Amino acid sequence: MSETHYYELEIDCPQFSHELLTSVLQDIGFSGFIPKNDHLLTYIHQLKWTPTQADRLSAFLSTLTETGVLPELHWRIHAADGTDWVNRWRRALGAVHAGEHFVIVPPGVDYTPQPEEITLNIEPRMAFGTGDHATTRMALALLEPHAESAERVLDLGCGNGVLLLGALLKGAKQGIGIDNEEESFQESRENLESHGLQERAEIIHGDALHFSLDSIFDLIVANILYLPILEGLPNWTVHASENSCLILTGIEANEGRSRLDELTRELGWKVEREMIEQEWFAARYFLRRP
Amino acid sequence: MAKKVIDYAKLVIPGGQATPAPPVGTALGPKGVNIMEFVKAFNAKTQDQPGVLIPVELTVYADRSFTFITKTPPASYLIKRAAKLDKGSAEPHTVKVAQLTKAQVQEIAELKMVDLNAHTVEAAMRIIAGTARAMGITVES
Repeated sequence: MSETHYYELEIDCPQFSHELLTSVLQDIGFSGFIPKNDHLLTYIHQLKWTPTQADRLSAFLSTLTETGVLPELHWRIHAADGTDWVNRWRRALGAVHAGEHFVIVPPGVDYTPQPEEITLNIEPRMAFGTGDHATTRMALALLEPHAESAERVLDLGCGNGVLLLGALLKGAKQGIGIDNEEESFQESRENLESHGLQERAEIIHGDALHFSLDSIFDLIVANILYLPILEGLPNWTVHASENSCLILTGIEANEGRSRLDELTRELGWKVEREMIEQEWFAARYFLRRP
Repeated sequence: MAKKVIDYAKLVIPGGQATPAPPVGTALGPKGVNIMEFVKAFNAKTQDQPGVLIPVELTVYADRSFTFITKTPPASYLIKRAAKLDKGSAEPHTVKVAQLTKAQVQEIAELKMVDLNAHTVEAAMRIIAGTARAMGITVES
């Protein structure tokens, strides 16, 4: 089970002071803020909360008082509410279907698969890919018809590995997932193992845009965001060959896609199918160099 | 017909890098908002400002759908940007890491006057200058 290990810091302070405090607290290691009328809540991973950080916090607050900007501020720190909201939300949705035959089932949800259905048993944690997002479902639907014949799959920004898992279970022989987030690295490796796929795929903890691998991939999937896709696509194309299949999503449907259209054309990717679901865009391309 | 609003939420989180960890999960989970949907939408909207703290205001509707708007980064971020710093000084009393011109202080003060609850630009400038000093940044006098 995943547990959250965060401390919650509560500072009594007037509302305008949030403008002054937040950016410095971020430097100290706090991850985000909930501004309230007469106080500010913020959170820090317990491993980042050291005596040095506590000293920095005190020094900063007392300097603000000395310079006359703010009155003396009182603060408290304690363990944050550990409720796993992602898990709770996802479980309430039950089994989620994607494409023709994929079903994503979180633990604790009873589901009897139909013949030919492929079950992805994924625990919703911190990494992306729980199946409750339209982009995950569209990417699974788009890769489904092309996974069986794929020799090598490359999953860029693999999150919890859901797309890589789907492709391998559908019949792709080998695969690589890349993600720069620690949670994604851990969760995707655990998911490969729990599905018995660790011999056929590996996860790289690193930059999914600028990497160099000694292989060519015939199925490439990326569910990230528009700007990283534009940045990574030239390098991804280096790792593709004629007729390789590319699936891109994570792009908002109302976002102008002229730069993507231009870049894919320039690199030789021909769009074959486009999908839009819940304001998100996904597309499948094939490499057809002139 | 307009959808019925049932709740609001305010957050200040790093652009392009939001995760379901606190405070996002903590703030939105109890309201029944799909956390992953918000994270992906927020990161998409702010992907050109990675790591920059961005205030966001959510409106939650009766069907648990939501909309959100983003605002300008906090004054302390604008100070760091004007001073071309990644981080403020770890020891602001003794180690001064940069200097701001009066014009830079005024520019931030004018942009942030309303958020700082200041009635005059001069009052806002005093707050900005004091905050800069607390970050180890001196201000040209």
